[in-house]
Amino acid sequence: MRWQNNMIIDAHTHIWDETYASKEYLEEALSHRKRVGDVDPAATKHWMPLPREAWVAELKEAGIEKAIVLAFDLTRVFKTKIPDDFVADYVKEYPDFLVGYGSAEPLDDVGKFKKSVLDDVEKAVNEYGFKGLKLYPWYGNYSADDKALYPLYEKCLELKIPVLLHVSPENLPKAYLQYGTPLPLDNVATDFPGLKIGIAHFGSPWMTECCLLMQKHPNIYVDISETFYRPTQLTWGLIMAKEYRVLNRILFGTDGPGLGRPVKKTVNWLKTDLNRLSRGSGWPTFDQDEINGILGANAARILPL
Amino acid sequence: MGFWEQMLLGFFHFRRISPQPAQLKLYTSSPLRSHWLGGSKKGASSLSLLAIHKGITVLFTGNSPSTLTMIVDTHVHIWDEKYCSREMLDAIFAHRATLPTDSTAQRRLMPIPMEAWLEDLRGALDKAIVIGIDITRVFGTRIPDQFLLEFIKMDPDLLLAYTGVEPLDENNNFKEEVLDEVEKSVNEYGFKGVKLMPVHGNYYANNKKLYPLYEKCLDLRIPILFHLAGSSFPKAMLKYADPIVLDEVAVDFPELRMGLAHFGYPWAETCCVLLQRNRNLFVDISEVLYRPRWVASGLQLAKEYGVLDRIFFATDGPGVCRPVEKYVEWCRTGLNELCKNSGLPTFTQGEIDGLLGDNAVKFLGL
Repeated sequence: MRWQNNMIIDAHTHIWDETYASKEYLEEALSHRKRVGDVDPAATKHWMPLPREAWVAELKEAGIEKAIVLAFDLTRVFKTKIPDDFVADYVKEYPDFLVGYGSAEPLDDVGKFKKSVLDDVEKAVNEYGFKGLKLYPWYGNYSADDKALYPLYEKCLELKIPVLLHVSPENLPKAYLQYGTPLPLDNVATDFPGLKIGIAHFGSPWMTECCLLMQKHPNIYVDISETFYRPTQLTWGLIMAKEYRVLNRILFGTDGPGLGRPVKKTVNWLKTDLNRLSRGSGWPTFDQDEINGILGANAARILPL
Repeated sequence: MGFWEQMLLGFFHFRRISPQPAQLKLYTSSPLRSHWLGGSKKGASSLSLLAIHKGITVLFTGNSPSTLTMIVDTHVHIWDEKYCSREMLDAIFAHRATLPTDSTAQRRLMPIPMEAWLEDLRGALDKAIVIGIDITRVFGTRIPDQFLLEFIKMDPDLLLAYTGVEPLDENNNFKEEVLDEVEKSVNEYGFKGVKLMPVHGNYYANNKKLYPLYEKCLDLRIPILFHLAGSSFPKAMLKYADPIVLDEVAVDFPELRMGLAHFGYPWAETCCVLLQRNRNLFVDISEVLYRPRWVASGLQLAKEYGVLDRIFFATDGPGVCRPVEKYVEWCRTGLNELCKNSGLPTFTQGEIDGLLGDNAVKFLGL
């Protein structure tokens, strides 16, 4: 796509369908939404709080020009999976607007690597035209630097796609915090310097670790989806990213349609509220290029879209 | 709500908080308050004069009425050097020397006599939890239950106690006898909880060998307070200090109430996600009150994570953060002053009341 400096990219969205969720996971996900902050009441009752047409319209109306939509494979612990082909059908409806990412649960019940995921990823990229892979170590009770996963990282490197990882906790029981920290990505980034590695949700609450990881590894980036519910923390994290000189690898994302809505409000938070909070606290402010970078320019530079 | 309704709401809200003299608090919405305080104070003046005439202190406070039922310090100690090893004493004096403690506290484990300490607590608090310590394994030190018992008997309305437990022996085996000891502390002495110090005992809190102890505490319906926070003691290794390991225990024992002392310093962020995920966890802010900016930012974070209602006031006195009243007062007023000066959001009256006692009263059932 032709890029203009003020375009907005949502680097982290979903598509939900309750028929793919276990009852246990669904209850926890909805309960998390209730607790996280000021969330659309419909989103606390339904996994997909509005029809997909309305969701895409909301994104477009907020000025989003591209949205990455992530498949969601939590088979191992939570028996829940939004499959790649479901996402592929959705992407086909809005081919100019949506970019799909596949998802894989790389380990089986006894912790052995599932070789079949290599074919799945290849299919996702070559057949569905997906541009990345999403992994959920925290929900899968495995550490991102588990050597058993290395063939999968090699495959992604070979296919030239980034891996986005959810290493940041929510309220789910059965998902232990020890698998939720971004620090193990230090090993992965060291062993795969050519692989683009994304950390979703700014690794919240470990934003400091994320800044350190990005400073050390030029192949690591973060998205700030979901973190808008904690504006002081996010502002502080962005100030740190600036001080670590890694702000140009911070990507906007909503985590919608369950969270991060209304999208327009979330976008406006970055455009105006962020600097209001910084200024009010006597901290440095963010210039227009930095904000445009977060909103879209960084994603356009770093990610295949 | 209209102007007069708001005024009436404030007008009739009397509250007496021991040990201060009677107070009349005027609660108003913020625009109204700024009008009263910054403007002519017309509405307030006749009311204030009436109150002052009756000998009642008039306070202008935030926009919601105080609900404070008790001021609680959830983490205090009582010491006697005869129960401690030389190594432990040296370590604790060296630690206190890194903090703005008075010089006596850097030479004497109990910097003031027991009676004076009791007066300090009485003057500032409605309840105080006296925490026992057992760090026999690495530091050869144990404050026995009997000693705690003598102290809490001096003022049973004010004082409660937790027993300190060292759960592993020198060969890393679980000490079965601690199960009986805990039962005795609770049933015979009336103790209300257990204190564990994984960092000083060199074990992980999620070590499965400890699970019988956790089950026992669950049976007895008592909370466990953990020292999962930094320590400057030599031999107290930080790898055992990170509160993140408590997540597994909290998931495996969702009904067991567990506390993180000292706001898990320096891991306030980890504490906040732990509390967000696990509703059976709480935090006390003892000792770290010495770092007011850090505590303020931790409390801001706790607010954003929606877990502020499980954060409890505590001092860790008498060795540190004394007099207690000074730190109660900091929570009452200093905290919001700091936030205001930093351009950060301030805390509501209800949130401060929660911190000072209401949260502990509700969560620990005091």
